[in-house]
Amino acid sequence: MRSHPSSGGVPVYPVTNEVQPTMYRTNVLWIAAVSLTLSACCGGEKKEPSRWDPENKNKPPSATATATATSRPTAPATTNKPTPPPTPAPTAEAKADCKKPGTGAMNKAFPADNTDGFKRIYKTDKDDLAEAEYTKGKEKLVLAIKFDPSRKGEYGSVSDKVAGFPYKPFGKNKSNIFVKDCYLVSASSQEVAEDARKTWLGKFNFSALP
Amino acid sequence: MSDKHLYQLLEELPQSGVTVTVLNALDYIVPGSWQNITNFEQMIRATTGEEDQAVIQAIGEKAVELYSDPSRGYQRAVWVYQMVDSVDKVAGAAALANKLANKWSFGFLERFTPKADNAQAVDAALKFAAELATFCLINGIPGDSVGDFAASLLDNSKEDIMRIAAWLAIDCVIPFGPDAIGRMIDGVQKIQSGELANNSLFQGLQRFLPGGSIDDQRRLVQTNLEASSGFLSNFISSRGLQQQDLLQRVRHYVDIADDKLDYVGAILDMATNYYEHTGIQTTTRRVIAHAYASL
Repeated sequence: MRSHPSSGGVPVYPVTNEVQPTMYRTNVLWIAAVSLTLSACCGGEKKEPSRWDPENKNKPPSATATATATSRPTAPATTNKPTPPPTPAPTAEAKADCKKPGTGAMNKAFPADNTDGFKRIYKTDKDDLAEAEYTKGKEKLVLAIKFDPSRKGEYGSVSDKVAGFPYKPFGKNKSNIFVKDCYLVSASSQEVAEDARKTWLGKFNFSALP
Repeated sequence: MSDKHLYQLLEELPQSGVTVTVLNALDYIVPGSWQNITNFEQMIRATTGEEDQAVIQAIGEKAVELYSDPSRGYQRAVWVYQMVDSVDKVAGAAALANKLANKWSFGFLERFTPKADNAQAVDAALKFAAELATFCLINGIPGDSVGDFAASLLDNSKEDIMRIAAWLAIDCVIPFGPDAIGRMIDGVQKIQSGELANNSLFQGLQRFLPGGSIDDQRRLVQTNLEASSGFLSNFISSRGLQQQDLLQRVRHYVDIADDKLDYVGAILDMATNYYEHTGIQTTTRRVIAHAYASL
């Protein structure tokens, strides 16, 4: 038996008190899913502070401009490593009206596969975010539902409506509506224009949102 | 687990060196799919198409915030990517490689002896299990049905498809030839539980694999490979992955004297961090996408 020059032990994963998410679903789906479908430089010089560092207060002027984007809370100052940001305190109304849907709960609200000839592939299912990608030829569109009751105040005074819900664009490629005071529902695309994105937002089945 | 911010992980990835050279040499398998993006702003632009600096800044800050929350799984995914590339390596092999003319030389590894075939096949199989584990850590289990999940898992692009191509080339086809998938399945079937329990890669991955016992987890790894064999074998044949051709292409950039193919595969595996490199790029892209969806 030949020897192997192993470098040694396995890195030790830090113990956390977090719950392993969706482990039961993972158990069931891992095997079944694959079965069904698959068979077919750093030198010694001191670096400039990064514009992305939550500790860095000297961001580019454009980053602190009064764009829609900057109205969102930013990551807090930390010591020397990433720490979870404080969760924005939801309003009393949001606490009363919104319950975190959990994984799998938001999928049924998405437009069906083959809507307008677009193929749907679900991309994300976290407890507060579900995401699906729709493609037809070179056109690609991402639809997403983010559970975020903290946005209620931001959308409360918005007069523009899509499908009866307050509408605001974000950046040049993303369109948002705020649904049932709990969900940020969005359509984003580098190929599909804003008018068409608004139309897509109207295709969600909002009654399926818990 | 890394204590670095997301942007730091990405921006510390090399723009050149052995790993990037080998990935570029294998890029022909998935032409146009992978770009070596190591700049956070560039990754935000590529993922979202946004150009306004205030918007880009907001997306970046949100992504850093999301990654910083350990309960979201992203940090664990990066840990798995790093772990896979860190076990069973000659420490610092990449740093010790010599650049001779246009080639990387590994003369210092001349006395290296690779693992036995079966152990090498099991390691390759475990890397595929790691791919599934990281997918679930980053994305959850998308969709409502088994078919939804499998479609999502298979919808690889960009860094994901480059990593799978590199895995198939370096860990599978170069050492084992066109029947690499069969050899891996055979390896997992044959391995004893005690031997698997002592496997460094398995030890790192074990906590992320469903199953109550080592035997359960061994069966899971085997079942996943068996179920995937059609897709993976088709990938190998449709992309024209062949031992000698791959060897010739890699040798264009990397000077490996030995003709033993298991040796060549093991050297490439040890001297590169392709799994971690593309894994950090995958994680960054997905966290940015999730940040964008949140804004």
